[in-house]
Amino acid sequence: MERDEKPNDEAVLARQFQSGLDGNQNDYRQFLETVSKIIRGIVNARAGGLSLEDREDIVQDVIFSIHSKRHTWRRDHPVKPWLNAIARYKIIDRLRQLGRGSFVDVDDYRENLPAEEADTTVHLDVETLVGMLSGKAQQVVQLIGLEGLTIAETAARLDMKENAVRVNFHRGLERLRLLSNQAPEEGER
Amino acid sequence: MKAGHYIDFLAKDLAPQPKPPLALYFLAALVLLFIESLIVIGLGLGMRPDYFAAITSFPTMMKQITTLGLGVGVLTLIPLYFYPETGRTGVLWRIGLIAAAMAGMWLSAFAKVEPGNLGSAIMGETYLRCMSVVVLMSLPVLIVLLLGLRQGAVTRPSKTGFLTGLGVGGLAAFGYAFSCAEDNPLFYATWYSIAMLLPAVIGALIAPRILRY
Repeated sequence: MERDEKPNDEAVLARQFQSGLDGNQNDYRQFLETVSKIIRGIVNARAGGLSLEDREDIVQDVIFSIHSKRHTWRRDHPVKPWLNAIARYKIIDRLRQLGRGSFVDVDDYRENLPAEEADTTVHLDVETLVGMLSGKAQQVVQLIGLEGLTIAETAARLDMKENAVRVNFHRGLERLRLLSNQAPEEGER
Repeated sequence: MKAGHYIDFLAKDLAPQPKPPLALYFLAALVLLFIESLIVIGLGLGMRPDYFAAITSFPTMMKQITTLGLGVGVLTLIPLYFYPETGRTGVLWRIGLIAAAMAGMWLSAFAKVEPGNLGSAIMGETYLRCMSVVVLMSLPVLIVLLLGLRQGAVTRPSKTGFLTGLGVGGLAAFGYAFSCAEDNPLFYATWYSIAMLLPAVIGALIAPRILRY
């Protein structure tokens, strides 16, 4: 890999994000993985006193916000300031909820490099979590997330409109994230 | 859930997103404000009968210019706050310019007023009506704009709410001024300022709830 092609480079991130927004799932996955490493590094540095679960929960919350607000990135603008702004907003928000607002030094973010991948704890396996969803959202997440169907195939299978599938999938993911954070810590270690 | 798994799921949620119609919310807000002005002036308070004669005097003209200037000056910058990374927008300069004009009008009237009349000149007769009409006109418009901004990723919700309320207050005061016959800057620079600040404060208070994500 070239010296100027580190995964957290502005150009690399922007390219992957752009291509992801155009529908390339692989690029988008890589983009989110790099971003989550950066975010994890920030959260570990700023809130090291929190439990691993809490920290990972914050990371996923930031990733979800980045995903659900992706339409607010303007392609002719740099992606890093955009990421920084959302990450800072969400991390401060979450730490404030936890009563740790004073631990955040907002000016430090830019300097952070990707941290080593944290050991991400599994509360429950994904199948169990998906089973805890209900209704259409569960069916949609099951088919797309676990069985790998496309949106169109899922729509045909469930006799739904594609847009409704998208809405339910998005909703299911949000619910899944909440569930995974609330779930009792059985199956851990 | 493992972060890797989670990201896999999100990557499958990659539907193309239409750009949220912030412009439509702005359009709706302006139409709403216009209708409110028509109701207030057409059905309620009426336009002041001497409007076109009065507007030629400098203090009266400034009443319209400062309110419109504040509304347009601030609201044209609000769409920037839709984007999370928006930093400085220069909005303080615009507000400062209007505030300076208001203060200048107030002081020049203060220099001319007879000491015994100062109190009654400031209080005027319609300050309660002025404030309540401006605030009531502002609130629905403010909410429409905040709902539009909610589609974005506002990272300074209190500030954004304050500025949106201030801008809307400015336009509402501009509308109200067509019916308001109090032309002494001691009155309007005082009460219009307060009337425009109230929606701003309300905006700062409610925006963090509406804009949260």
